[in-house]
Amino acid sequence: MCRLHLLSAAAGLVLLPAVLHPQGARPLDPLTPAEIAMTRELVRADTQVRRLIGDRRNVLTQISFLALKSEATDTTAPTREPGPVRAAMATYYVYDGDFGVRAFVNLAKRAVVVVQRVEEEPIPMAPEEIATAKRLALADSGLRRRLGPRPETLRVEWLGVTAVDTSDACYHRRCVQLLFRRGRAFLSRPTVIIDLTNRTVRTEER
Amino acid sequence: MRTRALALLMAGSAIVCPSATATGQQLCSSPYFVEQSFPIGGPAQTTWRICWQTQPGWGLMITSAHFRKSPTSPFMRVFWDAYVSDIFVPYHPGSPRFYDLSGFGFDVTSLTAAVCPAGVGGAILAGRVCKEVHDRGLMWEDDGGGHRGQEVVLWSAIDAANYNYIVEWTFRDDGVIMGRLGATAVNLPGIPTIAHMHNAVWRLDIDLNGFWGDAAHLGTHTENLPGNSATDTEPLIATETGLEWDDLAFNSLDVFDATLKNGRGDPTSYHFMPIRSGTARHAEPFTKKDFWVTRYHYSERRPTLPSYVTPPENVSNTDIVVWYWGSIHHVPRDEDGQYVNTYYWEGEALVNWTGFMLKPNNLFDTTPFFP
Repeated sequence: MCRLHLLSAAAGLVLLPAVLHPQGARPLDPLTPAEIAMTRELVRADTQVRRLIGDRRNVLTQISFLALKSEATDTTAPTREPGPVRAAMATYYVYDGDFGVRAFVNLAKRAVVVVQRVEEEPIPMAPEEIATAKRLALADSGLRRRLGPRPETLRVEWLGVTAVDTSDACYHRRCVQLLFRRGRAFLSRPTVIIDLTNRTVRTEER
Repeated sequence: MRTRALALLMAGSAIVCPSATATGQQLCSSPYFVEQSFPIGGPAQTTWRICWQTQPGWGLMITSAHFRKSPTSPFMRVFWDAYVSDIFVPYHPGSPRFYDLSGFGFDVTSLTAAVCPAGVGGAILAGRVCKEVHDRGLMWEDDGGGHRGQEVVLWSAIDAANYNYIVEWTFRDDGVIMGRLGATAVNLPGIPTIAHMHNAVWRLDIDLNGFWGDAAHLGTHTENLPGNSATDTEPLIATETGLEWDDLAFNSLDVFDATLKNGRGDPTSYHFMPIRSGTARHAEPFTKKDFWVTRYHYSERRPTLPSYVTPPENVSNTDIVVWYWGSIHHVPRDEDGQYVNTYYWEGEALVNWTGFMLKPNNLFDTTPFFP
């Protein structure tokens, strides 16, 4: 989990990795660690991203690859179509307000090209959010008793909860349902919900 | 508000990967690059060049696909990219309603030879994608003679907690592409016997012969009842829209390039045809139509339709994207598993599928692999 330290990042003054496209890599290869690091730094420093997130609690949930289409300079055969432009899409979740911020980065230009506020789509979970949910669950003494002996040995899987009913306790909150597995069998009861917005554990019988 | 981002990108973009300007060149490195010629073992008649990636929250993505219809023909782009954009899973009581890709960020599983054996032409790529190259059954038959077809299949499995989703892409020797989604593994703990839908939404950036100058037409069949005649039409889809699939009309989305023709001078197209067992309509707006045709905007990646078609842009002779969603109606049965005691559920739901076919039309000059 992270917070943007906006005052410490002067706009535009971001140190970038020197090597952006490793020798021998091709346009549609997966993002390199250097490209992921560069994307993270560029979006954190971007003024529009900072303006949308402000000082709210947030988490960078995902950085994924995409290939953009570039302007043609010559539309005649055999180079009728120019090649792909390597890019990355970074997605934040903002707890205060329950929305996402998505930024597209042109890796070749080392530039954030588009920033969007996302309200109509679910926002994926970050690995550190899942780790937090598991830690909260296993620290809950009531739940530990329900899980039986040596709950640490259970395999834990998870589902994000999308609440559409305003009466649902997870409506407009960041909730995760944890699933506990011993061998191939899943524990069917109770239903375990972790509210990451207020960091609470809730169990339900179905 | 819809993002009109492409113009901004184009205005500032002079960076083109220098090795990638001609279609058909190798756009990705091994193991993300798959080149498969047919017949297997040669001499090559047709060839696919495919790039793929797996990404958390997206699964197995085709990041480019080019087809060569003969050894002397150029490679022709078919996909800029293609992937399952989301999997929407509403349960019959009304809740829960999961978005199994966009809401979670699930990654793909590792694979073993048990599910990708060499005996079916299988080879595991990067530990997570199975490539199968094998016979696909009859291509054609005539009075006991004929030809058996072949295909290369790429698939991986998304580890969606209790569920696994199989994302499968098939590229056939005759230029056909098939996409399928399979749902399998363990029913939802807590409510393992409750019926639900797995709705797969595909986003297909079909760029025939390059990304300019494409258009979609709605293939439509009409029986002129009460008479005996029938007609087939193919009206142009001029502006962005959503369309319902009518089984009585045998609807297809026929994607043309403005200039692409075969050796006989006939316009080449790819026909998108659903392979489905039913049609689901949910409360969510994007489920009210089966196909959507939109103008390409790189930021439009998840199915937040119909916002992408409002206001509608021109989609004739331009760069278009086809969206399609199909449903797996999962009514649990005893074969899915059982309670092994009061608290534990054990068992595996066998794979259920939904998908589509993209079939070339007037790509070859005559019957391929004939005689």
